[in-house]
Amino acid sequence: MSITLQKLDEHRWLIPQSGGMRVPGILYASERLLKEAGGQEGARQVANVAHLPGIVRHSLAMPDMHWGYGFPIGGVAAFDLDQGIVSPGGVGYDINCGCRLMATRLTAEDVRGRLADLVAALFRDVPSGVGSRGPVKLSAKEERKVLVEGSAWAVAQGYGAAGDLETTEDGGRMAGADPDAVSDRALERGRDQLGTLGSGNHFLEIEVVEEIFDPVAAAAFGLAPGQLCVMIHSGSRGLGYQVCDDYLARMVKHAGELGLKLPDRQLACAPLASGRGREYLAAMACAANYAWANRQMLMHRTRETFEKALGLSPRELGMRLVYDVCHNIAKMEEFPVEGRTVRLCVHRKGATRSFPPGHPALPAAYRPVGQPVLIPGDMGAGSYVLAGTEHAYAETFGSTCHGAGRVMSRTQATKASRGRAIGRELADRGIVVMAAGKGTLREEMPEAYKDLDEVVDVADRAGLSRKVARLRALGCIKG
Amino acid sequence: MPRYEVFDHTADLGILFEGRDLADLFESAAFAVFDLMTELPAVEERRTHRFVVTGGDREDLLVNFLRELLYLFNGRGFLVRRCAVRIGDAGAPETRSRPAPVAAGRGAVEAVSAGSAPVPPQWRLEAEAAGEPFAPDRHRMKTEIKAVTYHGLEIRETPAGWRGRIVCDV
Repeated sequence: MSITLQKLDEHRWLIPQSGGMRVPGILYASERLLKEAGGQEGARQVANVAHLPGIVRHSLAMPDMHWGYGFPIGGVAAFDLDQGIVSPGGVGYDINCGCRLMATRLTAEDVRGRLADLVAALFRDVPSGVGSRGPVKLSAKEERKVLVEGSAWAVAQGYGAAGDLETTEDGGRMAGADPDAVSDRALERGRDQLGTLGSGNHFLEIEVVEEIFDPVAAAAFGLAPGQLCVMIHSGSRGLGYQVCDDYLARMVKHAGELGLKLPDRQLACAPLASGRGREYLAAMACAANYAWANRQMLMHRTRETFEKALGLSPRELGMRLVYDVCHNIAKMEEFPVEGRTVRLCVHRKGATRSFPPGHPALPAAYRPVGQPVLIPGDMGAGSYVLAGTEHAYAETFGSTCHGAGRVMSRTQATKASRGRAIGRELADRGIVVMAAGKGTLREEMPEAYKDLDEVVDVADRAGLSRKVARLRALGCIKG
Repeated sequence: MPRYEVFDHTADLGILFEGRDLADLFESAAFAVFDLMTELPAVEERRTHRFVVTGGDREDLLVNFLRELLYLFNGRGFLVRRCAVRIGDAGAPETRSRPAPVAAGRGAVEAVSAGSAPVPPQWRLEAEAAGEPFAPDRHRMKTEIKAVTYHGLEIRETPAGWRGRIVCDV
């Protein structure tokens, strides 16, 4: 079945309801981004998600959408709590994969000539790459605490300050976590990976604030031109993968009981109001909390490394958490639907929450301007900080894009980069990069991703979030 | 030597593989996964892991099989150089009702055991994976395959034997 898209306006494309679709699909994209969105495959995945029971209003795709498995990457779908489902594949393997932005009191000038040393120190001190182990080996009892308490566990152990919790989405702790819902295999994989970056597209990047678009919001977030910042992208490591895989297997096995005909087995799901659905949510919350504790520990290690490498006191460095967002998650949130406020289970797979000014979930300092939305680009492209909007709250269940989104497969990128020295090319642009994996730099080459500026412009013009600041990359470590 | 090739999938890694018969096809898939992850000639056959998996159909059996193999690496740090597979007959009553041995972990048990599941798995596989523990100084990792998915999963018989297709998360 081929899918025809109807242009609604400059940035929205409709997939009309047909066949087993329960609702229509909407893609947020420019003509150019649409071409890069995986063609028929990406659109078909948006249509496939629309087959799931209890889906509310639309199956959505954000501007960085591309072909995934089951759900597209950049997919957003909300489900009715009584009639709807939860889908482990709709959350993704890396549960609560997310980003965290830290600001410092330093400027780019302060690290001039010391950048290579700083990146090397980070590469040495922050565990990254396949099979890396973290600074602690958790006892079974401690690990259960991590799964229930999230970032707060890390802060209580001395990794950071209580204020960090305030500027983390959901306070860095998802309610309803039950370690008994997590398999022994997942627990085993989680025991020694806390405080590790991981491999693939995960990274830690030193950036400088280059341009401010919204001075009021930037001031609220504590961002000023020339300021040195750090962006971290990581998730729940092997524990999250195992939780997803365990429940995916379970739901595929019992798929027949639901009497559903799914267009893709990867969409396997369970009713939200069922034992299996609730058990997955309890396990997913554990993985989400693990991811928050992980990023909290990564931030702490980064802070220590900066202090040591630059010979600064904590006060002189002044590294502070701007915000932490998750972009692979299912959450119970309230939204206006047909004039009523309804509690729904929102799946965001490669999508970021974008809550508007005044929302009670935001810390007091950010409430007047909206939630900080962190959008990392490809290696060397830097990042954007945006703010959540009323429009996203009304139209996309408070969601926006999560990154540039791939346009080349890893194999294509490896081929396209043959004969080139990606690390040297970046160095020529003044960006110092170190990677643990041999093939990582080529697979993650800048051309493998969509143009970050274009993705963010579409998100801004479509009203899904508004531009606050752009950050330029100075140095990066990759797994 | 078992045969495979990779195909393009934007976010991830697709693998096409072939085999003379179904067991050979599964062995090709196992080879592909570890050949893509590491330089296999450097992996020695020092130890073997035996395991049994079941599945609702051939495709499900393949995913559960590769899941177990990935767990050997991701969970246990064990690199597989070679994997020998025996697949039970689809219709044979004894393979249908025989419960699979219990592997480690609650979630995993659910994934692999026939036990008292409401729909009895139709397919059963015995595997013997030979290899050695991952040693970062001797084993160079290429791509870390983190999970296998059901998306676009396919197994079919061809005039020349069997062909399979799977998309992995990397």
